[in-house]
Amino acid sequence: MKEHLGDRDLLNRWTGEYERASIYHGLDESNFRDFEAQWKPVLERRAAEFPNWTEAADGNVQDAHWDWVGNAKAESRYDTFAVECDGMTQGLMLVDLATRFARIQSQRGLDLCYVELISSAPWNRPKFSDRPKYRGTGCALLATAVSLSRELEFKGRVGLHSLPESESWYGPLGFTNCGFDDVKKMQYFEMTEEQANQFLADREA
Amino acid sequence: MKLHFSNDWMRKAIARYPDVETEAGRPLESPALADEIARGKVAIMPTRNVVQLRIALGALVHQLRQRDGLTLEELAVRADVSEDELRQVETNSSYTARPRIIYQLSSFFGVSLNNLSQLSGETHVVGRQLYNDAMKFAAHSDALTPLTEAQQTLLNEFVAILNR
Repeated sequence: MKEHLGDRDLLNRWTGEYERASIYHGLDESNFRDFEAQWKPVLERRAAEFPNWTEAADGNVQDAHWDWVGNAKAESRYDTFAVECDGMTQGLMLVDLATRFARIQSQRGLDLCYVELISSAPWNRPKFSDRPKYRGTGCALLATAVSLSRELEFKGRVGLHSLPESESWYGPLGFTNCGFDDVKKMQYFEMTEEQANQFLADREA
Repeated sequence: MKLHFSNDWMRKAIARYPDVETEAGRPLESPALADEIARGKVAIMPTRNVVQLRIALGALVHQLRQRDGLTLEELAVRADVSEDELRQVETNSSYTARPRIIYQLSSFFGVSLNNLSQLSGETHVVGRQLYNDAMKFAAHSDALTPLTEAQQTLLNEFVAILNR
């Protein structure tokens, strides 16, 4: 069941104006259709232009291979989220609540929200498009993940593996870089309760 | 659920953070991961408890391998199992390990076949105590760092429980 969580603004870079976006818990057929029909062909076309994976990383198209639809439909352990604006899915997130535990020493073994996948639409990405459209989808989704963590009494604890191109993003947000995960072959980041409070609270005023 | 951030926060966050879009997750360029997804599409979703047991199994195999100083490839050769399947057992909690690899790993590490089978989620009945012990072990496992003394102790205790 798709639940409307609330409306928040995204910045339309084309106009410089804020536009109202809706955040949803749960995906429906319209999100799957947007992904299949609008996201995937663009990502796949772009990925095919790169002769190898390293260059593809620089072109910001790594998740062309992500099977969002397959993941979201098949693996019911995921909580799914979408950001919609201008009648289109602008961002998607899968959160795993069942199988991950915190790794930072101060909170090791405690429950957390593990962000399995997070992505904004290809036309919103600065490195991907010459004229990226909306800014803020990733931020809205991460703040939603922290909100979910609080709602579940996980106190804002969130963990994720970052794609290489986004590693510089998580430090400023307050995540701790826990190092390279040899199993996932990616950098692992985690947010503590204190970091989550800082992330959401200090900009409320 | 409700959102714990206001629209004012949202606007300030857009202005404050670097103009890099957030991406996280797993790139699916490797055949093993693509295969995982393919399996995910057709698999019946295991229950939360089965998934958790498989996490404990993955952590156990990973730590026993670390303890013995073996790479995935080396363990695969020495235990006579497929490296890809071994990787699935260590990292993919949706993966149903085949009886053969459980048998081979049980022989190689000297861990009870019956209890290892229970951790793989293949059996329908799992002892409550084993489940609790497995959860305790999984919760204190960390794939990011070499085995610490404390983890080594937990590993030894868990193996002793499995062989009790």
